Amino acid sequence: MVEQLRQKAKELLKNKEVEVIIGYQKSNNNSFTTPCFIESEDGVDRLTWDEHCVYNLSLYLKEVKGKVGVVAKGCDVKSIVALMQENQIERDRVKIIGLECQMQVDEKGQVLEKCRTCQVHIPGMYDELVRSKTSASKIESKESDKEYSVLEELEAKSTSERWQFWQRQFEKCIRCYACRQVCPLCYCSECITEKSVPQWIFPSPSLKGNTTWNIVRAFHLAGRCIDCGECERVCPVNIPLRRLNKKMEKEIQTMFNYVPGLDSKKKPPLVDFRVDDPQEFIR
Amino acid sequence: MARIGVFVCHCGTNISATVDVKKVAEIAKGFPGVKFTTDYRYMCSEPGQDLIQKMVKEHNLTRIVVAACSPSLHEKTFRTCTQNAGLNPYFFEMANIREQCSWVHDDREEATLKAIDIVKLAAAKVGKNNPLQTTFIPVEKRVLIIGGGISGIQAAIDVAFNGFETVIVEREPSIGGRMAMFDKTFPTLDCAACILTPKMVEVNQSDLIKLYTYSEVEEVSGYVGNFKVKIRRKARLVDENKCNGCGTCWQRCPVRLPSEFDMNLGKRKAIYVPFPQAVPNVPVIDQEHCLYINKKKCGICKKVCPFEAIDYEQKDEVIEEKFGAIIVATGFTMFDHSIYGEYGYGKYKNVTTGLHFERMLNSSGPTGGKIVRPSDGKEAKKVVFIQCVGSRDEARGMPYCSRLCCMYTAKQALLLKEHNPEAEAYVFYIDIRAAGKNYEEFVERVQDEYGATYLRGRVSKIFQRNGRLMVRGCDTLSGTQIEIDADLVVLATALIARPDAIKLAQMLHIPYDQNRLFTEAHPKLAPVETVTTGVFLTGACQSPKDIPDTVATASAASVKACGLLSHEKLPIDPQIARVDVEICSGCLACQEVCPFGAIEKEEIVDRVTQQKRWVAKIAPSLCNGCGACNTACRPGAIDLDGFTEEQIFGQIESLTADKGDER
Amino acid sequence: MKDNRSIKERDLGSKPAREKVKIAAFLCKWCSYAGADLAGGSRKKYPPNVIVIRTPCSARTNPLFVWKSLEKGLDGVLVSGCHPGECHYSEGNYHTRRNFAVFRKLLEYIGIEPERFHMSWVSAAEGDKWAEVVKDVVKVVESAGPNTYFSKKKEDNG
Repeated sequence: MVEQLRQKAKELLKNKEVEVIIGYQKSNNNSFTTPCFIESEDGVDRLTWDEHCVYNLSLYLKEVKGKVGVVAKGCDVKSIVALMQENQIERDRVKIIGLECQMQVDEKGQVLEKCRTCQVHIPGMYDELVRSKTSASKIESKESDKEYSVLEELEAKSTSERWQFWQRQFEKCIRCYACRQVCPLCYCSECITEKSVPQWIFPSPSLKGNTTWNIVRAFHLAGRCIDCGECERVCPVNIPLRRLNKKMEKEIQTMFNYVPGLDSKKKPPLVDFRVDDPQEFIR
Repeated sequence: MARIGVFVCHCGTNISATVDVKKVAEIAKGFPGVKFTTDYRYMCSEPGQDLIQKMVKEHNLTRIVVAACSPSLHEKTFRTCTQNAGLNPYFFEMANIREQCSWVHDDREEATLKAIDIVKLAAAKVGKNNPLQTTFIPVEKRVLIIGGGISGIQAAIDVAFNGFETVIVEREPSIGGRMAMFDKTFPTLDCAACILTPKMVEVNQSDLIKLYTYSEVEEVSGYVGNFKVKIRRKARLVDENKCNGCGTCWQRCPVRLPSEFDMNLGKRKAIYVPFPQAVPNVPVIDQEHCLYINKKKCGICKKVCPFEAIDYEQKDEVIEEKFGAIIVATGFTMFDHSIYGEYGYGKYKNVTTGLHFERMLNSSGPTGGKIVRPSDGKEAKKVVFIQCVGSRDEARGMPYCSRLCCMYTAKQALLLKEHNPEAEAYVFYIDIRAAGKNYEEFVERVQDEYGATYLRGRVSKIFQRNGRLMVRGCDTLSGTQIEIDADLVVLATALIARPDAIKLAQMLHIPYDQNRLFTEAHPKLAPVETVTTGVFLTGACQSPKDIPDTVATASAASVKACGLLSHEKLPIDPQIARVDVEICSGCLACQEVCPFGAIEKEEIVDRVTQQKRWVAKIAPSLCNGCGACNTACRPGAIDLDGFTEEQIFGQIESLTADKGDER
Repeated sequence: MKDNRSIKERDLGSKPAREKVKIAAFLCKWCSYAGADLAGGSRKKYPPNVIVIRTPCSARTNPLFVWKSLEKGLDGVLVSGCHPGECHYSEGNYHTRRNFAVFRKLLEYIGIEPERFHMSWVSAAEGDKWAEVVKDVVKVVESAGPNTYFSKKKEDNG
């Protein structure tokens, strides 16, 4: 697979279809990977692909100008779709080298939670596709029906227990904003949290401010988050952010039958409506 | 720093009876930025307004809060007053302590505390008001009138008289509406056609009035001064420009159908004008029943037409036109009495309604002016009139009084006697409501001079005995049970809103009440206006009205519409949205939610990176200031003047006596 | 016991300050605000716990205003707009409905009692309904009691 990937990258650079390719390379200790930016044909040998390639490289698409190639897994392509929906990148500027994905693993070698229920091992959109030797059917998720099982434990709790739970989590927040920086969809040049007139969110770490920040973050990603799980991965204090995002995803799928990142022509659900949307909660 | 003045109104005792206004003024002194407070008996009065202007000078105030009634009543008054005091008119907020406080609470202490909160809220907002300048948009000098009954006709004539172009859109093939169906009008007994026809002709001949009959309004967009309206012109299958109404086609058409205009008592053809005086005098082809359209047979009308005006291929056409104002004159329909078991569930042929009776009275009507029993066509001599059928009946009909039934029933009883002095008229009524010029006298005359028998009471049952209709009821005045064997029963059915009234209301964004009648902007002070500026009401679409009232509201609505059109430009509310391009990330969520298409994307060069990027741009003339974009904007790049984020946050904070820091 | 009134205001009353919930209501000026005015015009009585913030359209009410109100210590929030299909701006209330359909789920998930957030459609002609909505909402918010989410006591425990 890696050879195939390098070959495709080489061709794109050679034919001047792209000026730069964003991909993965081995890190210094060889067991992890880091992002790399390759601008010449002879650089393509740095490209690698294995189960440690967890980063969502679409994060860099907005920053890199000109024609750009990007190595993307199925989940990463979903965020590219979402970015296109929101006018952040033009499709004709980007060449997507899609990768048929294995189960990706964390630092301890554990299969990522999101991969266990993933349904896009083959990306939904690409210009070039690198297939895996392991056939797709074999790595087809066994647990796709359990997509929202991660929520069950918390949903079963009482309101006050949930409050206690999240308060303990938010209390840990140090407001480093790593979750925001790593999120491909938190692309605003100036985040609402930086606004001082009026002040939406108290800026330094405090229970109230932390709670507000996390509510704002979750709501601003509602209907947009494509579940790459990067926010949770980078959180230095291990707040289970994916459980917030996933909850929003679930509710929106249930109410509006919408799954983010699948169709760039669709309107995101929170700027759309149907005349017969649910309203049983309204008097 | 803003220097706020708070003026608390007593509104006579409307506020001061429940709210301790002095206390409110005293406490308000302690609110942030408040430099002066006082209370006064009537703030909206001239001395009240003078007081504001005087205090602005004396205390160097820069912001005004008036705690009084609802802003829908006096916001404008005090904005002007604020401006007259030398301040920006938007440096003003109203604290609604009457409609939303003193009138709804009994406990003086509770009400006073709430009033304090409301004032606090207003003071928190006013301090953060931006100075706004009113901008202007050009006005499309045309009026759309929806409905071509007497109300629409009168409105069109008045608008045209003022020199403005107007378009009547009428659903039926002819204008004239309900009035064209009537025989004579109360209380003067003018023949309806004699007074209506000249008006219809005037409409037809006016250069300033355009008629779209057999047409319906499909879509309304835009706003005051600039409405864009899509009108469906249904296919008549007759070319209006070629036809001269000679009538050869409908004389020769072989298909005979019940005439809707004659309440199915008479016949019409498949190609027809609804009545002889129709305007325009151009027939339509009833596509459902035309032999040519359905079976490709016949085609006589096309063969005999001397002007080649028949066009079987004609299709519906949707046109779009622009208007500065809209007058709604869609009228009413009749209550369906078949839900009343006691009146025979609509099954007895000889139980009819007032409109049927009108057609029979009319000498050009289906019976040639004879009052007959629909069952066998024999003359009806004994007629029972029943009032309040569907009116004043909250359980099964409408809760309201239909207002004109008492009068037209009296008129019909009188005309019955005039047609046949031998005839007997019985009227069952609950109350006689004859409040109008010469109305009471008229009803008296019908009883005294014409000998109509008035019976105060309800009819409990109508049934058939030996082929005759029996009406059983009680006369509550004499306390006797009465049975009348009647030839004919005439029900005064309620006037109700048209079934599709809601659809039109939604198109125009005007509210309607629980009875689907359109709601005026203010029941007393803005009776022909609606909350949608530029949309006016006339006639029975608002509430049941007789002809004089209908004509009066039609003239009133047209004056209002012409008033708008007399301006070259109209001021637009400067409380609209604006984008901070420094913060905008160009996601254009705002564009997706904007109902007015007011947002476009614009390429700019970033101040810092010197790179090109997309941002949202709002067209002020298209923005209506709803704030949907504001909410959709995640980084807070959009704000809405008059309702800014800072103001709303300030209001929220003012409500919470938050102690300590933000943590 | 929490009381949102300042000491000076509390002194105003002869009665001792009792637990009284305070609710912010964001009302569309075209329908619900006018409906509330109509309730006044027809002298319908309802409890004084609801303070109205007037907005041009319910769509102006950012769901985060609701959170802000709760964060600042208000006991409940009501958002009210025009009935579907009757928005003065055509579609604003449809967006409001979606926004809050999602946001209320987030609030509940984060542990906010559902009793604290309410939404209603009240038209300009529905003065009676407004009075009923207020009575109802106040009752439900009272059942949840005063907002203690960030009160000192809880914070100490946390």
